[in-house]
Amino acid sequence: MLVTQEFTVSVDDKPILEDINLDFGPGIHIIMGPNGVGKSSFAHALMGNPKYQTDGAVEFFGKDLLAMETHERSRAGLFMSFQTPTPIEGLSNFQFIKQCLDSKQGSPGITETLAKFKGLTDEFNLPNEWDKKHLNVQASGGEKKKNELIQMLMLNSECAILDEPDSGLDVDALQILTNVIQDFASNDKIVIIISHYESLIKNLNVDSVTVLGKDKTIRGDVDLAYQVLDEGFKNIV
Amino acid sequence: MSDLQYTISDLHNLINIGIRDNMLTSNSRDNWLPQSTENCLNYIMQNGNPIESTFYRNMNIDVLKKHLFTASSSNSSKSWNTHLEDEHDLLFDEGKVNDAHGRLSRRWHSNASAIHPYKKYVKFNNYQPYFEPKGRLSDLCTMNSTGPIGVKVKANSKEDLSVCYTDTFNDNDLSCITCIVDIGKGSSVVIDENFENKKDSGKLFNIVYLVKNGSELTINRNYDLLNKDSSMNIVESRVIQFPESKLNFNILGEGSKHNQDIIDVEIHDNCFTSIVGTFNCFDKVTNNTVVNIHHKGRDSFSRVDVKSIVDDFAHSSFLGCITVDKEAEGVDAELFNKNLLLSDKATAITEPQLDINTKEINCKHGCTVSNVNKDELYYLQAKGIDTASAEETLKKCFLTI
Repeated sequence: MLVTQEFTVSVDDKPILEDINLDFGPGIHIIMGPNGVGKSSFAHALMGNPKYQTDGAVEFFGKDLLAMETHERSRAGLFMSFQTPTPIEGLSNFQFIKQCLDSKQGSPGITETLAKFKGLTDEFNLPNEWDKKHLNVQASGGEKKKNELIQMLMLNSECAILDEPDSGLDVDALQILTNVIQDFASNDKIVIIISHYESLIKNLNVDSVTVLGKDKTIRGDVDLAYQVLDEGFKNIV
Repeated sequence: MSDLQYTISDLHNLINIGIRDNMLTSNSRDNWLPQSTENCLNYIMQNGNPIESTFYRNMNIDVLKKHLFTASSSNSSKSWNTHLEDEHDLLFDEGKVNDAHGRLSRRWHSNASAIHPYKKYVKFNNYQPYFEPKGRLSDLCTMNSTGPIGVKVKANSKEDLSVCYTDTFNDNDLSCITCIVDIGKGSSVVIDENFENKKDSGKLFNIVYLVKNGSELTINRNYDLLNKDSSMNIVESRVIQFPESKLNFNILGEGSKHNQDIIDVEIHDNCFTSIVGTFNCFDKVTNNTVVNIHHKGRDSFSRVDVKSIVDDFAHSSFLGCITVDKEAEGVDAELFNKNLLLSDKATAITEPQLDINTKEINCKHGCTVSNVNKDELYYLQAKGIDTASAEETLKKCFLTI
């Protein structure tokens, strides 16, 4: 379980989100909200981006998430797929994922890891020798998003926050994304998706929808998402 | 100051080390004496302080100055035997060449095994034009060395040599080594160079590389890490690229108590030049790099890429200059220096210069000093990599790209 209590997020002492009380259990959860309301900030603050100051409490499987360093949050089972993955020249995709896995206890051997990684890059129709390409360098938006999903599957974390995973994906890739998220969540994982994309929401078994507003937060089921898609945010938050 | 008069022996007394004479300067005293007097004024005795030439302005040179005034000039006969002796084809010791067969020569080493080094006497006087006074410490090296040593590769040869620059004397004087590497026409040569640190002391090198017409020289220079905290290396390399020659110069180092790597490259027609320096400096080391690219001929291509990581209390400086003569049309020259500064106590100074005297060329330069990219650090941390490992990874990335 991921539970936020009076969770407040600020940048340079300027509050962005205040007193957010939410809980996320196993299943698929959608977060929506107007532009600039702080959806990505919510995700990054949970992940431990030092740019954000936080207040309140966040419990993650019984542990105090806010007391952990960023890498400790990841190792505790929290994964975040970035909306704009950071390019790092000089570090190959496979070197990176191997280092991530090595940082966790009981990581598999290099041969097994490479085979699994290459299997996933084939499944996601990524270019040949993707393992050798530099991380998020000279890759299209869609390729970067696929790469984030591969990381999610390789790291197999308990909770994945996906910040607009559908942007930049073509129709075929979107179908793969839907299947991957549904499969991943079916293993008692928590998946929190920041998205407004109707096709994605329609094709997933959504357990909850949260709409973040400037002054209030609304929680509902998938019908709330359809209401937003029909009417916009104006009459909701 | 012009009314002050200095001689070589004055220089000797001023810096407390033994001045010698060798055949690179003996027949051209008219060039060396008056100019060395000027050099004395410039870098030895200006305002009563040694080596105050503006050339050394960024080099944190106090450590070296202190050593120049305290070093002993006496040699001990006791050898401290280089630990690298068995691993190299040639040992370039102070005034000696020791080849793989244990043969010592004070003159010259030829790559042709059939020619005994003692018998292959070369008139070093022929190389005098390449050893003009420059107003730098390399002048002192040339004047003070026991004589030049070197290696000559015959025309149209292919050689892969491993060379160690060492000092087998157990003393703390400032060793002066003058070396000539003469690559014959049409040859292809790779030289893996290792500079052995001299514990509690320093070495001053003046090396001239002649890359003759149509030849290709690859230099892989590596600074030994043993005793780096207490040793000083001042290495001046002058490369003369004859027409249609190629040079690949790769340098790997971590600095030392005081390190200077000064590279002057004179490039003639239709040449290719690549200089890549990679330095990882930490603790209290000093590492200074100077690259002067001088395009004298037409249609040549040069690239300089020097990267340094500077951490802890380390000091790093880079001075890079591209000079293109009026006649050198069609030149394509780029020079870049990037520094990754990881500590508030560390210093990185970078200074690019261009002196372009012609049109119809491509010439670029760029120098940066930056810290670890916080977005990159956060991205790695967010995927489970701890801060120290993430910083180490980003350092490796910086050096490899």
